Amino acid sequence: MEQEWVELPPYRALLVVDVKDFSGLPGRHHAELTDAIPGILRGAFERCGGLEVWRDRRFGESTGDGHAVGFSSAVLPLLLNPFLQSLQDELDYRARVGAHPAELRMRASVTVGPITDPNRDGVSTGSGGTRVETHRLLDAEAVRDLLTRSGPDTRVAAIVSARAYEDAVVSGYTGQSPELYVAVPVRVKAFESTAYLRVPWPTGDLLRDGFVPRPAAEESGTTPPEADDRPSTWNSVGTVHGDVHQSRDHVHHGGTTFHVRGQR
Amino acid sequence: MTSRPPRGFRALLGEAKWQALLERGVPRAHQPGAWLLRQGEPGTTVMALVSGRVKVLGAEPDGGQLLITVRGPGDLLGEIAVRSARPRTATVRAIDRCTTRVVTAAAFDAFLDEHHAHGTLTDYVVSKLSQAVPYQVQLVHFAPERRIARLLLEIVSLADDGSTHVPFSQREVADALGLARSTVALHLQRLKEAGALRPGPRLVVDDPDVLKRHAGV
Repeated sequence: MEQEWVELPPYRALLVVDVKDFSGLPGRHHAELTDAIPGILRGAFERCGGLEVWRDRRFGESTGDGHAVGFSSAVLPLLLNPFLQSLQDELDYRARVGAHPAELRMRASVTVGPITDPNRDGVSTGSGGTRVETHRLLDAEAVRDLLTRSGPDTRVAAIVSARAYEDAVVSGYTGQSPELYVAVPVRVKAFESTAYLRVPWPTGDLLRDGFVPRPAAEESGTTPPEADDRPSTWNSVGTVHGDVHQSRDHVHHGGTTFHVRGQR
Repeated sequence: MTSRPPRGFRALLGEAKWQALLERGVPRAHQPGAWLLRQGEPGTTVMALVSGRVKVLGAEPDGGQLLITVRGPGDLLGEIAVRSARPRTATVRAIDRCTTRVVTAAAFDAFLDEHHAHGTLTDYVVSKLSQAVPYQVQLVHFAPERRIARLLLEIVSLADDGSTHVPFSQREVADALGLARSTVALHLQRLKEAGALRPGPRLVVDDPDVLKRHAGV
């Protein structure tokens, strides 16, 4: 049975950040850190000349160990460049001056899509499938893995939805090469999609092995293979009839085994 | 005498390897204002900074010196030129009385080989590159008061003896941040009135928390 049409909510650019190992920090610092996160984001926007963008945000709310903020979709490119780099720099500065009880590292996820703005009583802030997508992406193993496999000076690892990547990066609005982002398949609960990884300052194994580690069998032998063999970051396909599409760039027919690789 | 956790290359390397590196070097002491490295000179040694703070300066086309960053105990100095066998990319001057260990390029290479520390050095160099743009460019979008507070906070944070004195003149603060001296004088006065800095001609942090608030951290 057909239903009546309803109006599509406005398109918003959505940023969600999450502090790594938040629950591992002493409980006495939790409230202090939760309160500090909007200030850190504000500082990162200010640092890259985007203070007005921060002030014009449509909504923002704490997620406990992180923060979710909605913006006009027009500023989506800024969230990717220069904001992510600026967030890295701001966290780096704060670590240097000992601003917080611990040096903070963050995962960030950036998406774009229809999101309801908060209603007058402030309930149901920023609801919609895009909101769910942003949180699922942030939970993806691929982006968690980036912080695990990098040194302490890598303070930001980001995951970007396919739509945000296509609309802002591929189209040239961020002014960045699309090659700076690495495609990965993401599967969290019922959510399944391709997303794009971006690390403004890669260090450690990210420099040595790329953003998406190769399967153990192809390792050159310098790193322990067990740490690199993660099911969420590579796939193999047995007998396939018809096309298999994988992260935009890989299309294979028939009984081919293929791997999704990191950069280089 | 330092109660702060190790930082810089020392933190990345770990205590045992840092000590092993120091053993390969020749100890030297530097008075405040002394030149540790000069831009353009051949890079044949690397220095491990054991105590004290230094300024890293870059030459401007007009002959002036631009503050690039401030470094403290646990940092390496001159490791970029020594790796690429090229001239020094920056000038380094002592802020405090500093002690260093001077390690030759060959001894440094041998150390990296023996301790499998090439990757650690790469990580360290990469992390320092993020601060390789002049200070005033890093902070260009911040309001003047915030820029000043951020610079003072960083200099004080690097003091290994807990000193709250910022051994910079108003002129040096102004040059480091690309601000007019009168602007710096005005905001330093306000920071004194707010209780972040002690009254008087010397720059001394009185209340770090107030200074942090003005720095927006």
